[in-house]
Amino acid sequence: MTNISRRRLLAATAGAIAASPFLVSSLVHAKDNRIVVTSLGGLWERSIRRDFIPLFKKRTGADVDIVLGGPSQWMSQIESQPGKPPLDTIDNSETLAYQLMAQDMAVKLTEDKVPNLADIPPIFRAPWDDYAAMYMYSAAGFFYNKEKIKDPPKSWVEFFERAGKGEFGKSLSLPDISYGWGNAFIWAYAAAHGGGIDNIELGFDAIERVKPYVVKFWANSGEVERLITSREVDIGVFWDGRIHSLIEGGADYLGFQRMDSHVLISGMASQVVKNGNEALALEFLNTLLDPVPQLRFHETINYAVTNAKVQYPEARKNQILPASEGIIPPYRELAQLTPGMIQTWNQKIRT
Amino acid sequence: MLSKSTAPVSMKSLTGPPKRLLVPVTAFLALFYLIPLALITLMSAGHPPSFSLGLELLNLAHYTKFLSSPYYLKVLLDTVLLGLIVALITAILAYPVAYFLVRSRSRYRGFIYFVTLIPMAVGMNMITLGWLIVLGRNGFVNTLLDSLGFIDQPLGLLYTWPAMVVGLVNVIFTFMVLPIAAVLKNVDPSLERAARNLGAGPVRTFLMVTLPLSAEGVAAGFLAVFMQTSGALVMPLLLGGTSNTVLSVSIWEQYAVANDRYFAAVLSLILLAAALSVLWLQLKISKSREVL
Repeated sequence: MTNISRRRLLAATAGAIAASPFLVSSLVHAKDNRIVVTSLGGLWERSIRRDFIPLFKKRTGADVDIVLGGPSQWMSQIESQPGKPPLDTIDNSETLAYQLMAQDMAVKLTEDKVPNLADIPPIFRAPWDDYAAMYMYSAAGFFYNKEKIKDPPKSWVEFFERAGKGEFGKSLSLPDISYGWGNAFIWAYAAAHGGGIDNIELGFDAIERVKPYVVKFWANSGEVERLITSREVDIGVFWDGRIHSLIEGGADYLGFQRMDSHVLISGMASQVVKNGNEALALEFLNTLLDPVPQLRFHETINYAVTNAKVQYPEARKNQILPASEGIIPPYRELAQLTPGMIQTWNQKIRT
Repeated sequence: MLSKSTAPVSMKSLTGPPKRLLVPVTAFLALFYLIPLALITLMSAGHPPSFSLGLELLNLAHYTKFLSSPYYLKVLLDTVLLGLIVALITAILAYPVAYFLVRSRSRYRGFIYFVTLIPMAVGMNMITLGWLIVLGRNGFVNTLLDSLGFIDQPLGLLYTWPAMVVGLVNVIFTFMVLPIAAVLKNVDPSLERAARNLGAGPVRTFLMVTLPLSAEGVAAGFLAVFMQTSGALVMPLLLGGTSNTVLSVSIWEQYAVANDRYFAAVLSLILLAAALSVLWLQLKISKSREVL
């Protein structure tokens, strides 16, 4: 057995302390050529790693770390260390993107630093004054069980009218207020019935009419997909890309009906975070907006993408809703209404 | 001269293990529980989470919001009720299992013990998914009832209070069995035999001898189950219906959707207070039993 003398221990400790600045400096140096980005999980993460990061790495030589989770979590992480944020870019929700802007923590995107921004239609960046840009979007529509529903509704008004009369039975599913875009859907219901931000009550009135026929108000995408695949529900609303993925995955009983009007479109509002590795982060955002990896993203995950130069495969063209035909809620105003909307939901829908 | 093995033992070593053994866990709790708790308490009083205190920022507006809201008071009541109901049902179901594990000499004892531990091994999320399948419209229960001709239409078993209770009892069962079994082990079987010899029937023996002597185990299990149930998020969120909101769901909603972290802090402290109240009650009852 080797006895370690006190003298040898002290010498080793002194050596370690003397070497530590070199170790720390090498860690700092490694971080300069590395950024931290966000992603949702599953197929989304796979596409980010496979379709976007290699191109970014080829262009910059920099490494990328991914933090999985969701916008609320990522915002908390940024707000906890605003001087040195742990994330360099964030795939934010449309609403929380305004919060980052309000805290002066978002970098404005310009075409000289993000060249691909020039090919992104204004609808996907103007709401945030170019402090965020969307690289993907999805459009809402009705999913329905083709075996039970032969004639699906074609508008929100028709849906609420027929569902409210019990035509589909107790087999509906709609987003809960706690879903990230729950407030946006309520706005869409209100808008379809002649209301909007100034009269959001119309959205709640519509929900109250169909409430007795709702099996579950779902709080996340996984939940509604489970409700659909286990056939707990026969009709509801969800995003086109996810429904098409389910159908292509073997759910032959499933149909998707696009609405005639008031088609809600939504996506991730990607932002560069201030005080991080801004130069590399801007280049990463440029990569997210690049048409080549965007097309591969679409092929992986079935969501539409925003670069106007993307040429969709023929087989999928008719599944894509042109951005000009969709509606985006006034998220800035909607964010201010949300706490009150939760109160209204609790009083009218949860009781 | 005395050898080391026969040296006199000092009084100090007879008073128990040295307090410095508690330093690591105390430091851990202070750093990762007490300090965050202090910051959350500040947030609940309207103060941003910070180590520099601005007294002018403190206010009770969010507490007023909670106390003046019939909806949130109902949510608190439902949360406490859910905890109590789940704890009671679990205690009734777990006691016979614990008794069997301790008293029986059956060769199936090991198997039953293993089955009792399965919920802990599988985890809440998997068990929730399992119950979603079992209780679903096309799930095992409805399919069985339909095949036996008892129903024409599927029963709406999911997204109800009973669905939440069943799921929670399943997942938390182990936390009731183990404390009861641990205390029952220390109950001398000869006391039960003595009661029977003196003419008491099995029910009277259980009520007058076994149950009182094992009450501390039941109380410990009750407390553990209540605390876990009142703080459960996944199961109430997935198995509960629109009208079955509990505090944990409201906390998540205020944090993730409303982005009102101050109100979320209030709800968190209310939930903590509810759990600590039950702990205080249990300790008070235990202490009064010691006096008696």
